[in-house]
Amino acid sequence: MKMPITIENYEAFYLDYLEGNLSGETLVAFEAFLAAHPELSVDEELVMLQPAEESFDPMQKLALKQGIDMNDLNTETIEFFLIARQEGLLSKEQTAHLNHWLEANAHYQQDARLYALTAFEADETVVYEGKENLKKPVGGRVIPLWFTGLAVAAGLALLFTIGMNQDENGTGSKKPSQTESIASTGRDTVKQNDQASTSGDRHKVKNTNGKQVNDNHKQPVNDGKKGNGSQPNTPKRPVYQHSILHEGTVLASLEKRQAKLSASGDKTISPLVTPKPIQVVPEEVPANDVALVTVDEMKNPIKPVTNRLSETFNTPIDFRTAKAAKKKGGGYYFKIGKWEVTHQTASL
Amino acid sequence: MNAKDYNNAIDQYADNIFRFVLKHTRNKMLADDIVQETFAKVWEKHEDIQVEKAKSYLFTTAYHCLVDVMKKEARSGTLDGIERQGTQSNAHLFDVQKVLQEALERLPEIQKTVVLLRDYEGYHYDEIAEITGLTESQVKVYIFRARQTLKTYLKDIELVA
Repeated sequence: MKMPITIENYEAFYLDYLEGNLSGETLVAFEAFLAAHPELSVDEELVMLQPAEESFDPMQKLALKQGIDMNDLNTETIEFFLIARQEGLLSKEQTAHLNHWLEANAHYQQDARLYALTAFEADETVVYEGKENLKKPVGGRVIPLWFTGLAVAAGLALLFTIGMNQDENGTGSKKPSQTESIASTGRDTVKQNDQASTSGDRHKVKNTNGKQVNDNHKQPVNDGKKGNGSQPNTPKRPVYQHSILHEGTVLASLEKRQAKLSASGDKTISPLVTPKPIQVVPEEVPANDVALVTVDEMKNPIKPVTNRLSETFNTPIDFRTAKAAKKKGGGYYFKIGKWEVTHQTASL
Repeated sequence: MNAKDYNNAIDQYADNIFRFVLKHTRNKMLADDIVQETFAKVWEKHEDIQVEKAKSYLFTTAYHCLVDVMKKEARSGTLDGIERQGTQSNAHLFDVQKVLQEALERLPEIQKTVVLLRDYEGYHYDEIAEITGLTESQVKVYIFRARQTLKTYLKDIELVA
């Protein structure tokens, strides 16, 4: 060392010392100087500011490499190889090489043992309990909830439309007097289908003679005359659609009414149901042909939908339908909770 | 993947996903929610998913759900303190699995994820990379770091004991 370290020039050496740039001989001389001048001892905080070693973690360096070279095995890289063995990345030869190295360096046996413990085992007793709730029905298309709701709305609209059409096209129209006299309750509905009185019943007005007439056909109502020429194109006679259960009751009622009229001879009182259709019914529609379909005989064509809706809303929902056949009537049945609608039609 | 495959996937993987998620959240209700959300999302796409990819797809979806939930919970602070206290008092028992669980809790989330996918499911690095969106090298480095941390933790406990 050429220049001695003094109180005048020590600061230059001090900076080199903090930066680690002092050579061996100078470093020894500077540390001797500091020992002689403790008041100038190195500030600990300044020492902390020394730049850290910037060398890349040797284990990480090896981890980034493709493949494993056992020539890299040494005391600095041993952890990489121990983990690699744990991870199953070493071949048999490499494992044997490592084991041989560990025998020679017994100090690392403890690390090897601890690395073997770092593998996690799943606790099979921990299970997910809601599996069944996640499952989807198999064997059919899963219908979204919005679609099923839409289907129900559409179904209701369809039923409503059918009902309206029947009233309007005459197939389901009824004269008030006839309906009142033979209407039944519940599912066994008896209806009188009067083709001759098509759709005019709701619009009754009085004509100039004071008689109640149909505003569509200008036909006097309840005048006791039939086939008076005002409806030449409606030759069909009324056809009754009625339940077998009520057949006897209805016929008896009508016959009783007819007998009463005949006995009184009062022509001004019109019969609730004219005798003529009663005579026609057995001829045109045999008794065994008017059997109505029961709800149990109807089938549900959208059972998955109604089942799904029932489950979703926790309310019994059902829809059944049956087409009219030659010897059996048709109809439909709709149920939401306690609310039920049944419609039955005559056989073909 | 049809409905039958989907149901089979539930039988095969729901438990695994649940365990994987539960290890992160340490909260059963949260884990339940994530499993449900995972399968709901997979069902939405089930027609586009190949059966052989179902497991990977499920774990990827579960991982993304998990990350979202963990972010939310971290912001609200809900997860802090849940079943995470008392680690020091139990450490003296030196039950290896118990200590290992404690060590797992100290790992960064991403390291925890890759280690669990590796150990629980036996996934290869490339599969874990696909699930987590990392590179294969990153996965490898994270796993190596995690093992080193775990070993150090075990060593410290062993010395104390």
